[in-house]
Amino acid sequence: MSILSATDLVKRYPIRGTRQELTAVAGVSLELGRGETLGIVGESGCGKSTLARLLVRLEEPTSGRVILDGSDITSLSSSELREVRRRIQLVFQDPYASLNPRVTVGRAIEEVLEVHRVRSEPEWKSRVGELLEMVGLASTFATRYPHQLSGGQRQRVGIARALAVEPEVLVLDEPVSALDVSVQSGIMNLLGRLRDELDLAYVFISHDLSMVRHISDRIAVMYLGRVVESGPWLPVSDEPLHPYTMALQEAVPTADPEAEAARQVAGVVGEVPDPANPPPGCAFHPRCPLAEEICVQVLPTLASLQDSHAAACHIAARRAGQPEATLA
Amino acid sequence: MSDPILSVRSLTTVLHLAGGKLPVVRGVDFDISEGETVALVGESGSGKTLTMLSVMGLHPQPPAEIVEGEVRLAGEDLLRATERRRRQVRGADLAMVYQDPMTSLNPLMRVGDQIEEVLTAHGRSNAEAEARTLEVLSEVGIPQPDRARRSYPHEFSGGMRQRVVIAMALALRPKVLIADEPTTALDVTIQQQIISLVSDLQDTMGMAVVWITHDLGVVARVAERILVMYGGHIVETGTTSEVFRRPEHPYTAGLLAAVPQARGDLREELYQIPGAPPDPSRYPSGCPFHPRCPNSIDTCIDQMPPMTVRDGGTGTHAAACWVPPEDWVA
Repeated sequence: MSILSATDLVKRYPIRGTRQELTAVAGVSLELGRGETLGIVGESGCGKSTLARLLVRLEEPTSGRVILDGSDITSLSSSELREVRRRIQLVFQDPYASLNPRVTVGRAIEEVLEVHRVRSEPEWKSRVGELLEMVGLASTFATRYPHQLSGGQRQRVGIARALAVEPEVLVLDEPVSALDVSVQSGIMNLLGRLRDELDLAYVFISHDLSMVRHISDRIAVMYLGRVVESGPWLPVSDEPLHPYTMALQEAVPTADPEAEAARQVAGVVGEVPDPANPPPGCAFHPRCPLAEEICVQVLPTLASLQDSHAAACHIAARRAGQPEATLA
Repeated sequence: MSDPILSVRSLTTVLHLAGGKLPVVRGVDFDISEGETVALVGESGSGKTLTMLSVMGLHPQPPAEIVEGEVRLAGEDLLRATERRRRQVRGADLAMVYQDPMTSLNPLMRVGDQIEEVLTAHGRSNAEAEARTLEVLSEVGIPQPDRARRSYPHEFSGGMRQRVVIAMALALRPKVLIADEPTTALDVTIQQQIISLVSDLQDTMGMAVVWITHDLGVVARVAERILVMYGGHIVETGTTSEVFRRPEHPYTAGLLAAVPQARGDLREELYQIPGAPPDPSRYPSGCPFHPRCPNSIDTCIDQMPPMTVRDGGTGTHAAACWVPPEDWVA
């Protein structure tokens, strides 16, 4: 059974000064098993960060539901939410923004224990030390201030704070994107180790396909508020079915000059459309090299095309021998 | 090999701060040939951006000051040229684009006027400037150049704004374009568009391009040659394929091993360089990498190794490391 599931999540924002709405998340459903890692990859404006905030209920969905271990968290009161936050935590891209510059690292972690009434006060100090060691920092870091830490150390503190409540699920929103290359690998290894040791489930959100494929069991690809492809990590990453995922994979350069020299990168034209004014039919059709008339008119649904590998594409569906959508 | 178009020797730039002088660029040497594509690779605090700003003469003064070195463009020493001459060279021969396009754009001015201003400042007539502006906007793939010319920067998307900046940099057909992480803030599909654009323009205009980047994938995709910078020094240089195939500096080797595979079913624990890149205010003694280096020996602690060409190579591959790769423990 899933530890976390979302059903048809929608989030619309009113556009100030107009009667229009912007649809940031346009009907996303997902399942996360215990101890599993679901990677979510997409470019800016695809709705991945909004989705992260909906999953931990930092934002209210316009419609749809989020179920955590069998209970619907979209209908909970704020006092009930505190219990939820002990089980699911969000880790941000820039932990600096969430750390108070005047508060020591130790106190910042203690605050979490206090707010969530985790363990009793006399245990806090030693628990802070344990948490710091868990994320690879010496317990002496407790007396330091955020500005005395490097970016990687701050992200470790961010992870330690998230772990303080002993959660079952971490939603990680671009956790390594702000870090130097030589520091990213340490955080990635740490996340892998913590997942195994603490049996955590992750929703790992990033624009970086190579990081997502490195850590995920399954991958969902988002484009303009929708999941356009999902499935086991290797086929989604290396043998994608959706033309957008193909373009994404091709655009990511690999650190291998011979392979790069041998590749002919066609690239994809145009830019991500304005979410306030999405194209009709498939949102990718204006940029898609395979687009046909049906793509302009009919929104493709996410359908399983092979071994739990699904794509929302008329052309991919036809290639897989699925019944074709018809023009109205 | 022909004479380099850009030749930098012993370039040393310090920052004057309240606490004293901070050497950020510490005796940098490199050559760029005509039409060549070179990547200057480094992480935060490596000094890569200040190096290229110093080459451009655009280092912020104060606090930055070039205290030593030569920057020769087609043989002419720019550090000893008058400011008037430097301004002439900037734009006409050397141009730079930045990560954030708004660094180079005035938000209150139509983009056409900004490009025309660059051209008229370099002696083009108004009519010539207008014609070249339309032409260069079209060269960088901006649709409807006549309309775009009359638009303000905020009316463009991030990717299109970066194209405008590239148009402005290329208006005078410079010999060397320095691209400082121009794709870092962009989505990968847009990044690919900008990379293809610059490569295509390079082919038609014949300019040399120096990509400043931390992304080894981008390096592998675009660069013929690579300069690796760490702690204010160039620590390794060579053709991209020889450096990637057999790095001779432990830092380069660590960086390459730290990146996850982009293809295939192999997923192993990533190599982890201990510690973090040093802050220029606290560069370590000797080799700046020694506190993070698995291969360091006593000499590394107090003596900066010189760039060394090792046997068996083509002579183009050099690294600043006391310990030859065959003696590395990791």
